[in-house]
Amino acid sequence: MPTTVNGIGTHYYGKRNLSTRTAPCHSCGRVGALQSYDTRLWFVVIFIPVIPLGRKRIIDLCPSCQRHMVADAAKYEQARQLQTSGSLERFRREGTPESALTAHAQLLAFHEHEQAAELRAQALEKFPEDAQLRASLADHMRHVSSFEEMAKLHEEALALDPDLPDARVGVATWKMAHGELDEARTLLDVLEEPGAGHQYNLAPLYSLAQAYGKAGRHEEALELSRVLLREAPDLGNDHDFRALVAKAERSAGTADSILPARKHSLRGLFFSEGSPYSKGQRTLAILAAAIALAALGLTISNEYIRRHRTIRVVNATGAPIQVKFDDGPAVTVDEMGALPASEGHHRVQITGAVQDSREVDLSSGYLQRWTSSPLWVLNPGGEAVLQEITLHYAKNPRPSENRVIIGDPFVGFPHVDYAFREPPNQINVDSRTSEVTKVVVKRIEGHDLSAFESILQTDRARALDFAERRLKSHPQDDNLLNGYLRALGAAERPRAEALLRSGLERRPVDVRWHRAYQGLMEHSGGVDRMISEYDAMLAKEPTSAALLYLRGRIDPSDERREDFFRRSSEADPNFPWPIMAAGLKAMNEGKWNDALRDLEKARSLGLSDPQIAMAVHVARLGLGQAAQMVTDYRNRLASQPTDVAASTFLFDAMAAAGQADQIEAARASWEMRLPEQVRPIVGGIGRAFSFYQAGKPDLAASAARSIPFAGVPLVLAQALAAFPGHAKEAADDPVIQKLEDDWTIGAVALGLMLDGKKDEADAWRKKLIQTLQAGGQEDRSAAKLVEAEKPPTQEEIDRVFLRPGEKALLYTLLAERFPEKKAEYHDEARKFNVSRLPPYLVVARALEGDPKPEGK
Amino acid sequence: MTRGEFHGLLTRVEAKYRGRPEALERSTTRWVRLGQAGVALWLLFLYGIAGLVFLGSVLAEPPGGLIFLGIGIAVTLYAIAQTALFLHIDSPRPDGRELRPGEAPELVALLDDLRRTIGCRPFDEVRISLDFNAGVSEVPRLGIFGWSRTLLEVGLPLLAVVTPDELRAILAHEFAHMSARHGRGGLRIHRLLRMWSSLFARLQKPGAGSFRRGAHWVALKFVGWYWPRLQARSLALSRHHEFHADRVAADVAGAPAMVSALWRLECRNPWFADRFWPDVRKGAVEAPEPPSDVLDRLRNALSDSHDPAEAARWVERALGRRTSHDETHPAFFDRARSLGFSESEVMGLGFLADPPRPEALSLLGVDLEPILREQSGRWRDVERASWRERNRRAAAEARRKAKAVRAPGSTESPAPEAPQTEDVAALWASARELADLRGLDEAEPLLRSILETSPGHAGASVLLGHHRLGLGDPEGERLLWAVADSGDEQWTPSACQALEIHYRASGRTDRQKEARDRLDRHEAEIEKAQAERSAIAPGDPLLPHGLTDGELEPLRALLNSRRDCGGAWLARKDVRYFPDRRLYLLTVRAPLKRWGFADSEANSALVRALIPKVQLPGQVMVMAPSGTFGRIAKRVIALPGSAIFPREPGAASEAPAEADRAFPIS
Repeated sequence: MPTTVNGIGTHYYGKRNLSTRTAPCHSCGRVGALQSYDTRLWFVVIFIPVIPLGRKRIIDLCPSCQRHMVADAAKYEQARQLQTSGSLERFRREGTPESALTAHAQLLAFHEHEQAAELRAQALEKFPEDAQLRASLADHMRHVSSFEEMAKLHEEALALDPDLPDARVGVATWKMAHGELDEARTLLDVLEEPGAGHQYNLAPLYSLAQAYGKAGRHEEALELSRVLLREAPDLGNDHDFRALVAKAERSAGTADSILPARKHSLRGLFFSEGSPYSKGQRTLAILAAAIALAALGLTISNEYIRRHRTIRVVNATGAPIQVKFDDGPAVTVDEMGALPASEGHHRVQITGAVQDSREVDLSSGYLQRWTSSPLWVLNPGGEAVLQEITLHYAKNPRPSENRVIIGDPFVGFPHVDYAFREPPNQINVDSRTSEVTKVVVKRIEGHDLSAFESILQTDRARALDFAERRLKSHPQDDNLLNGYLRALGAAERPRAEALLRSGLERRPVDVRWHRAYQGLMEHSGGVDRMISEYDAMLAKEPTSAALLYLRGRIDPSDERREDFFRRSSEADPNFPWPIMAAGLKAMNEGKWNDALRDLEKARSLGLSDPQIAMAVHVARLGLGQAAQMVTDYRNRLASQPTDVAASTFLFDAMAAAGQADQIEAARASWEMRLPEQVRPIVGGIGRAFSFYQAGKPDLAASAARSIPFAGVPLVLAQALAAFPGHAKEAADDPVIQKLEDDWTIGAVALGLMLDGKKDEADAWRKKLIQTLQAGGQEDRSAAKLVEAEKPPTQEEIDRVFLRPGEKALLYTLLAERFPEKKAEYHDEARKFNVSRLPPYLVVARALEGDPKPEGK
Repeated sequence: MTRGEFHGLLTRVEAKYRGRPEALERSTTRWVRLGQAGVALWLLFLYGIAGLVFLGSVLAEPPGGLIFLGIGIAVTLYAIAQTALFLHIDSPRPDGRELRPGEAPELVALLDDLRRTIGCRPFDEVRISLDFNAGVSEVPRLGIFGWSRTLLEVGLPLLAVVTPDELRAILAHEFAHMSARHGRGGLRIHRLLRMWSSLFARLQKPGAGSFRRGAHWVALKFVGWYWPRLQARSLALSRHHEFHADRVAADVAGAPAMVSALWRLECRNPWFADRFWPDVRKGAVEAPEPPSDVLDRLRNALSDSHDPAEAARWVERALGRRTSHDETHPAFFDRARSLGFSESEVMGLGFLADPPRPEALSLLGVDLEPILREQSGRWRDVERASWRERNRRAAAEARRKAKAVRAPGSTESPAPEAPQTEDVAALWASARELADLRGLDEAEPLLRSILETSPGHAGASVLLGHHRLGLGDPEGERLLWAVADSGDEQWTPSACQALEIHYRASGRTDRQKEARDRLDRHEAEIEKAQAERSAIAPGDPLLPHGLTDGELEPLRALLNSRRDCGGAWLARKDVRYFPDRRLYLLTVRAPLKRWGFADSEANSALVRALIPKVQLPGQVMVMAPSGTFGRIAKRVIALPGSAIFPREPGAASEAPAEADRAFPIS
């Protein structure tokens, strides 16, 4: 049958030489007007006929099920004409009943019913006494479902020859169909004679027995069954016959059955012909066999899966390791490896970069073996950072869920769709509402800080252990080092000290590591001890530029500090750290030109500290280069579209260049370029900051509130402090209350002062002082300024090293405390308040009285 | 493979293994194994596919694994079904009455004695049947795996015509087939034959789906190649086994007893086939019920005198027959010679007209009479329906004749041998009915009447020829050859087969080959004729229609009666096979439309209207110059002298020119 898929395929078009007859369909058995006609088969595209595939003759198209026979139209026409004309010519030539029957059958086979009727009439006229001819013609008519004509011919045949078996059977069949069973039996008496099975087809007798059975006349059914069994003993093994007899015997109350013992046969289970089993029994047997095969196949499959598991080895130690399973040979794994193993209990021995021996258990549920893809990962030394991501694919997908696994030498995942391979960016889902969830496991490399921060919230001890282990093996990871130090609580400082001290003797001198150590020691009041330590180191290496610089950093005397920095530069003119220190000192004094010069020089000498980038950015803003900076940052973003720092600097420069109204468009463009997985969080943070930079604290606060992320309360606090009348909101926020960022606390204090909340402002000012006092040397100096009872001098303030924004905030806080020096302090604050990043707006608000904020 | 090719194969096999029975046995075993291997390969292929798919289901990840598993289950179930089909062998229901314990002790003692002498296991079952034969068969309990039950069947008619000594020789022969001395090849072949027969029956049914059709095609190709080759060897081996069994029987019962038994069977075989059973069945014309004492009648008939001429004919035929390659059993002459009888001793044998004294039936002892009654009754039951049918047909024929006598114009009762009607068809129907009911003897006058009226009547020639051939009349040969040479589609096979049987029986191998080749040729021609007549192609050679004006007149009248007929052209396809059966090509065309364009719709309507009405002395294909058959129709038009309508002078000559203008032929 022609078939189309989405309008492409084959199709019939046209309908000629149509003829219709009413008969039961050969396929579905329903009686209907079966159509035969000529048509043309086409190859169609969107149901438009494109290529003709030939003329066809459709034969007996059923209106109900559409099933039909099809033939090549030309061949069918030739066969029809040649065969029918040949047989008709033979009838004309020979004039025998046999030739008439042949021609009649040919005409009916080609559906030439009118011509067949004419021929039938001719033949019946020519042989008026031939009963057999009539019976045979009746048989033809039965084949074409012309039952009325069939019955008429059978009756005529019976009238001509009452003993003609074909006529008797024909009329009997008709009578059976009309419920006249006894009359039918009388006519079929010839079939009940002994030996009839050798002479006649006993099917009508069987039908009569069935008809008696259906009519509830079981005695007669049983009598006929006896005859059938006598004449065709094989029938005794036929299920339908047995069912008929069994029912008749039950109804008749016969004690002894006439049925022979049933012979079982394998063939009978598959073939209906002469089968001793019912259709239901056959279906059941085949179904049982299918289930048995399925069970066998599934059992083998399950056992195969159980025996053919794989353990993935992720070796992040940086050196090859040897892994040995049970008593098997040791296998060397460089970075990634896959080792075959069966489920169960195993002993794993690892040698090489890591020495470990452990018992591992590989197991999964019986059914889960087919439905899940478990993953077992051997992570020697727990060195590798693994990430389990649950991705949700949908029209509007939920954010993915991440779990970072660190430090576990052996991890099992119940189901993983993408093990150490990238998942697709998109998957087809069934509808708008449906969702497909996939689990991804991958190794994270170069993102130790992220891993550390994510695990810190849930398992602090493990996170710290991880960071310390990683820092020992990768001390150059400044990001992790900074993150680690940031995360430390007061009680955890001793372990950090121990860690950092263990790296002081490492050579070449790692300046950042030392700076971190120095920062920590400043907090814990160990400056004197530290000076002794560095003096001792300098004694050993008196010309070390790094040690001279580091020694200078911790010296409380400005003069000696400057001297150490000078000696450091003399020891190595290309050593950038003292130059950077000079640049920061200039920045602290608001000398933007000097600061920019020194910082650029330090940067050109290879220093890529983030502090320098920020300082250069502020220095350029201080020098009024905002318009040029916009162009520079746009270029940088063009080459690195997802650079978060560049986007932040760009928005800052745009605000400074008077392009605040364009920030939103730039931010939206940047956000669209972010990877889909990180867009909700990173994009949200960017949105909050950009609103702040555009001078819209209300929108910044709303954006910050919508993102559940750790760093966001800082923006929220700054935005609320800058938003007139909302500082109290920040002060009452329990998350903000927990913040330990000193100058954010200062911003809230300033906001409360500007909102006239004196008591709350005092409380937050004290909180600021306490926080600063708990900090390093510079912080403690700043605390003294904040808590000073009389206005600090300019010199005193210059001596404290603060970032420009922090310094601006300090000036405005002092201006609020000492109104008599407000003008002077405000002038200084204005000089330092150049970056639009927090706390710009709250400082600007203090500087300009109570400015009406933009937006909303 | 044609009969000729098969006969050539038989000859080659015979020549190759002459005098080397062990090599023949080995070769046949190899061919049997090849057949079994063919089946095993097919099953292995199916199970292999199933196994591979199952393997795929184990190795593939879900859901692919589940899909593979489903396919694997389906293929395995199909393979199991195929195995069940091949393992199952339809065993024929054993015939006759089983000899119960304690019955016929003398016969049982004889069988025990033979078993001990020959050294083979006893038969599981002994049955007394109504066949003029004794035979051994096996009923496998486990399909092609064997573990068969052995069954000896001894016919009462056989027991009635041989002496106990002759029966001992015959049974020894049957034991020899079963004994350890015989190879199992014959039984394997037999089982294989049954398996392939069952398969063949299934292959004849059209397969649904391309896979089944493909499988049918492969199986038929294999069987078509394999079966004749195995058959050729098994026939030769079977004859060898017969000779071997004869020698065993001669060792046990003596060569004279064995030869005597074989000669008695040779004499009584035609007596049963041509005389006894036809005479019994003729009784159905008069009596509505079959006789209840058929075996008593048989014993009486054996004592009756015989027509010496008939007996001489049977003897001549039996002694003249020589072993043919295509028979399982050697000819009597060769079997007797192989047992040490000289040619003159054999050729000097005469018809054994006297009943045996004593007859082997006596071995049934006191059980004889009950068994005879029981088996006569059984024969009566089995025959009753067909007997009554023959009786009914005889009565109907009598009624028909009586009606013909009472018909107006009939003045006297027409005797069956002197038909008055000239209606050949009616005569032929009567002759066939008469031949069937009363035998060809009584139908001969009617058959001759038909041939007088219609000398070329193939059916009558074959029946009469067959009858005369049986009587040794050369006229029969002439009549049958006439039909064979005429190439009559329906009757040529019967004529050739009758001739082949006759020549084989009379040892005229050259003529036998001629008849066989003629039948091969006829079948090939039939096949080619069907292909030639099944399609009309534009390139077919055409001939002028060759009909006279008188023969064309009804067609012209028909065309003239149609207003929508603008012209008609008639030609014949030049057919190579059976050219007497002509094939006409009639092109008709409706009047041309304005501007001289053909009206294809009107042409089609005209063709459809004419097809049921056109009557010509042969097959006819009616077509229009436009449409599917346009190219052929234009060639018919272009054929000189093909224009038959309109008939008017001038118009007839203009028609082709007009046609040429309308449909130029380059």
